[in-house]
Amino acid sequence: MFNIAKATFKRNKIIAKRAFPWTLIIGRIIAGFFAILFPYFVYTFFLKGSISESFNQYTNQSDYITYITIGAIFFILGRSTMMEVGRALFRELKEGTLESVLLTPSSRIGYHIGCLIEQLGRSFIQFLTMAFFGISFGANLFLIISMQSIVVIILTVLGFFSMALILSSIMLFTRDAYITQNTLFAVMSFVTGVSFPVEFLPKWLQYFSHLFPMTASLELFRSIVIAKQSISIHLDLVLEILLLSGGYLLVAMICLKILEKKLVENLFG
Amino acid sequence: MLIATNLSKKFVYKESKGLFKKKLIVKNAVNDVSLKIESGKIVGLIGVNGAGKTTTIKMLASLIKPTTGEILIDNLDIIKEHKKAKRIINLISGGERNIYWRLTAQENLEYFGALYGIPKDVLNQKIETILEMVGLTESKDIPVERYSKGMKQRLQIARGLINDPKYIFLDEPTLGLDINIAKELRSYIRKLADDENKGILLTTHYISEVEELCDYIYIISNGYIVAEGTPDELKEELSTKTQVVLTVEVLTEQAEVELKDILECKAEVTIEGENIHTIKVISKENFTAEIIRCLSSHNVSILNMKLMEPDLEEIVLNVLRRSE
Amino acid sequence: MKDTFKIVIAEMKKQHRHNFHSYSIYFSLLLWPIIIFFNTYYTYLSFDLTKAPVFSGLINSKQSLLIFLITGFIGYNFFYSMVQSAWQMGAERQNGTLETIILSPANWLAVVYGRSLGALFQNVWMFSTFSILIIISSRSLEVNFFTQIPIAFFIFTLSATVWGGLMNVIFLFSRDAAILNNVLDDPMEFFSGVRVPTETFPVWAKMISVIFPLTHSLTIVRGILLKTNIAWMEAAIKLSISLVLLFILTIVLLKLVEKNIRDNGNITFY
Ligand SMILES: Nc1ncnc2c1ncn2[C@@H]1O[C@H](COP(=O)(O)OP(=O)(O)OP(=O)(O)O)[C@@H](O)[C@H]1O
Ligand SMILES: [Mg+2]
Repeated sequence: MFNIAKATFKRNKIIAKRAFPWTLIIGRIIAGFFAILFPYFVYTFFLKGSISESFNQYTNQSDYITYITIGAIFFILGRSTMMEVGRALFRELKEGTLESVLLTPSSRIGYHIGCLIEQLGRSFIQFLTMAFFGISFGANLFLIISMQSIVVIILTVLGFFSMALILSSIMLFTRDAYITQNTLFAVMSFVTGVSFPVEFLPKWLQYFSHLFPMTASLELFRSIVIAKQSISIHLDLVLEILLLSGGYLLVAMICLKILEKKLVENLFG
Repeated sequence: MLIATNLSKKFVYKESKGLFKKKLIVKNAVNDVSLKIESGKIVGLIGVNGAGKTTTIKMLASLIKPTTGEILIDNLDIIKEHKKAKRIINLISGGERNIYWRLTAQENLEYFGALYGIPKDVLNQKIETILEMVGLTESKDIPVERYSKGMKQRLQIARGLINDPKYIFLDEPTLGLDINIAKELRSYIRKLADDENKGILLTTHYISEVEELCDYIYIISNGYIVAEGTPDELKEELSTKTQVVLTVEVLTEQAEVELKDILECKAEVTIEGENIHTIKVISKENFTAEIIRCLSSHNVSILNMKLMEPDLEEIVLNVLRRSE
Repeated sequence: MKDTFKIVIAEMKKQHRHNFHSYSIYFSLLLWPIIIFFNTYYTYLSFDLTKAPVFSGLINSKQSLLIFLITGFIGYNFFYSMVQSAWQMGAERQNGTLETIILSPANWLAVVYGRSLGALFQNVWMFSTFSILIIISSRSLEVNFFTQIPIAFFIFTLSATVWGGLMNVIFLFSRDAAILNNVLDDPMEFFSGVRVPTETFPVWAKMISVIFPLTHSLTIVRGILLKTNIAWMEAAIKLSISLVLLFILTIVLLKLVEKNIRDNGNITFY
């Protein structure tokens, strides 16, 4: 598995070097910028800091700009990770190289891990730009790096990764990337608490939101970074992320196995 | 009559060398090309890949503007008046592009007809006739994506006829078609010229097609016209060799000497075999008559004789080789 | 003139026939906008809206916020469907059908506006229906509502068509126009005041928002629907000026494109 990850990493690195996806990255950064700019404008210029009671209640009096900056960063990073990892196999299908990948007895998890690691650098660039936007809008992000927050970030990446595998299976099944991914991202940004507390949503949507590991990740991260709480009082959230990710990984692996069989039959049958 | 004089096309474009470096490249795609297309005649334009055929055709079809030169259609300057010109010409390209795959044949033709401003009832009438002519009447309501290559190509032809053009330019119309359909298509093209009196310019990579269809041929190489004429003229003027092969019985030594004598310095003679001899004569001119006279005067009986006509393909290849 | 009209109609018909079976527009022009609309609405709930009237006369209750947002999104939907139609210009380039269009003597301006109008009628009815339902269900229904809605639609249609013409020409110009779309789309959505009232913007942001005709269309439509005494005459003048400027720009660019294509012939040259 490790070798496959390494090989995939190397190959993707070479491709990215030859044709760096500038337009994609710039597009994402612009989207991220406006994701923060909108609530910032409402907060600063329109409603001049008048935060509602319910927001204060649900978020323990969080600083609004910090709150939404963190949400936007998580969303943009989640979206790009899921897109790059989730679309990898689909792209091979479109470009006609899937057969050669399927023919090798390599581990699929290894393949996807390779993709994940390869795009970390680009994620980091996006993270820095987004953090820069946030800080210049007045977000308080200086406590963002600590032992605890790193643990949460790792958990979050795990969550993204498991969702990416699910996305990958859906794309291979529907043979469509555009609609699948954008629908997923629209829903994700709506229900997981990116720009407002999940508690605002109707009850049924709140339950639904817990299907996304990001809901728990965001809550956990904000408690640690904004409310400066300890991770130990939120073990339920940690457990939620682990269970969801584990569950999705399992489901995705089974789905990919089945799909693979079908695809092989289609490709060579 | 369509008369193009001294057409040249210079493409200037940038080629990126690295991230920011760009280099200006000037490409002389067509140089000093003059040609004529008469109504009711089929004119062929042949040359290797990149010779400038498509560029020439696009200039004639008013898609691109010549750098220099003049094109007149019945005294209308079509470079200046390209909108007017577009009403009386049309271009049909080979391949499966240039039509909407998601629309049906009927819908495609309705759309393209409207672009020419044809009134609705006239258009409907015309679509019916054209579809009948290219044999697509039955499948006119099926989306084009479900058509075969040949059907798509026929629809292209139908599209090219929608404005009832006086001059039609065909760019490799039989590209990728099987021999039956290509043959059928050639008969349409012939009909267009003969029955409808249209002037047709045709490019192709198949020499046999040119030989079968064209009344006049231009050979283009590196953007220059290197030879032109009717197929027969080209054969006569440009053939480098005629080849006569005779099979004879008992070729006497006397006869052999005399034959070699007659043809000395004029042809290349090889004689092979015993008892039954094969005589091969390769020459620029045709010496068949002399050879037969000589042999019969020596009572050599001729069993078989083959005269190899100059082959158009050979000629074209030769012309192109020389123009390199 | 009659030919021009004919071409516009033919172009619209073609668009309709061409896209009728593609279900992706149900996502990109219906489902996603609805999700984003609700997302925005809930984002506003983080704020104490009782203080809103002090800052913007437009929004003084949850109901008026709803109408404010829904008009914003419907206007944006109109404009965004233009970008989508322009996108398809790229496909026409690649499939060689653009070359076939150019082969004909058809007036390019007619083709370009036919495309915009076609895309409008094709695409916006879904989200518009949704919007009207929301507006009706927010119980601000009155008698003259039924005269206001058509006026609003007329304004959106007119300005989006002009905008769409420009978009189509830009995509004719360059095959890298996708980048432009990336750069233009989010800023337009934001600075036109789809989600935040522009009158509360700081000056620099106001200056950007003036560029987009969507800004003025929204001001007028909201003025009509939300019955505020916004200086809508002023907005109407601004809108007319910006539409005229866009129209002129479209014609100039179109001439340039036409010359460029005739000189370089790289319409299908990839
Ligand atoms: N738009 C353009 N810009 C730059 N160069 C061009 C352009 N169109 C054609 N060329 C160049 O001009 C030359 C002639 O091309 P053209 O397409 O006319 O050849 P052709 O004879 O039709 O070839 P083929 O048999 O391959 O179709 C080629 O070298 C080509 O690269
Ligand atoms: Mg060609």
